[in-house]
Amino acid sequence: MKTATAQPDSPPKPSAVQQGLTTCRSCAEVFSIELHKCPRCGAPVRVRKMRCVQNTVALLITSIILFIPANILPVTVTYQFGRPSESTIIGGVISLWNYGDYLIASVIFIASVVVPLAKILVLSYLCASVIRQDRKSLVAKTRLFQITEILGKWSMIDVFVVVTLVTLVQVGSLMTIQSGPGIIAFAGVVISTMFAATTFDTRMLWDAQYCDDD
Amino acid sequence: MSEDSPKSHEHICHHCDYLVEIPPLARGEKAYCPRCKTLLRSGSRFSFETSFYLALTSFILLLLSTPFPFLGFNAGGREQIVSLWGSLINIFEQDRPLLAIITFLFIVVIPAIILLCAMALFRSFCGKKCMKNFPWLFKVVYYGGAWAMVEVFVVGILVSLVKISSLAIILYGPSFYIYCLFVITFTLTLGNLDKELLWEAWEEFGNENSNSTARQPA
Repeated sequence: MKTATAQPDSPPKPSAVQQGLTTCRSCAEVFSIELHKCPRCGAPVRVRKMRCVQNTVALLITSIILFIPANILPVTVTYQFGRPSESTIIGGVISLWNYGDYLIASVIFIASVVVPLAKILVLSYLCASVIRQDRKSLVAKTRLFQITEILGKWSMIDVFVVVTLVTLVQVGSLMTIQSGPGIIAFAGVVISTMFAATTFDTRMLWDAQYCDDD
Repeated sequence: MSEDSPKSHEHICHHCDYLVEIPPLARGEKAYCPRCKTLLRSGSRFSFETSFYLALTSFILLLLSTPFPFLGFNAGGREQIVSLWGSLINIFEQDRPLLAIITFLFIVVIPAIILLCAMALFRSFCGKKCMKNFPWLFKVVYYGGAWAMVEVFVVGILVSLVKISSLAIILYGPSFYIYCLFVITFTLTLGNLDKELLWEAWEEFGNENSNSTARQPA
């Protein structure tokens, strides 16, 4: 078994592209890099996603810009006896915490603050390591990307919480809840980070192995 | 590509571009990329027929979950129960149209489109027929899955119910339970897609019926 472990000094195993082969993202057929169309399903094929880092960075900037109104503007407006009181994402988490709803407060805090921020940071870090051709801990970076991809849609929890609250809390003149503009900006953050993840190509991380140092 | 043995097949990892030979997998076996440790393929699968009926069941459950009472609220004798469709209409008309549209897209429209496409492609494989539009149907089912947020919606409902449970008694309508069942069947339908098996079947049935030119690069 010990012979199977890679020696640190040995040259990296070649990628498919060095062997003149590529794959179709849609049907996973293996064929020559000289073809521009998949011979099985006819989908257009590129060896790497086009302008991968540029697209990801553009979408990340969009999500950072949207993150500001998502946190400053109110996500819900509660009318109690006719008096409105606005609440932001963080404000809602703090009041839940003060009421003693620790579990719900942490779920909302993680889903709507920690996860979107972590996604933006992770994708920025991965883009930076593609640009710097950093060849360290590639397995961990690939795993980090996959976790980001899976967690993506779970940030939408807060949007659906607002939808449910607006629908349910309509108790005549006593108390009503309306949504605030912040929730749309927040949905925008989630959607643009999800798109940012789909435009990123993890194979670019692994390409760094074959670049010669200058 | 000439030394293609009947069972094992060549695969290039989508995450690290590494060429591997995947041996035939038994039920429950999984193939991982030796370089980046990504799951490449797993062996346990439903038949095309089971998948078709799962997709059909999910679609019927989704249709049933929209018109009937979904969730309600009882505070001091005032009772109000709304359907999923009715609540989205309310939000659209009285609150924030964009919020209603986003929610409707992610929890009803996208899952419904995915299920219709999944039914079309599983149905054609049950009848061993070739279908011309298989490539884009497959893409809708495979890539659309990431944008269907049905399970997130249910967790969102549960979180908000805990939030307001101190204010009033929550009423659960039949549609709520139907939607929960739908989430389970929908997840099963999408969780058991075997990419390679579908494309192999498509090639096989395509070549049987007509000497299609699908393999020729245009």
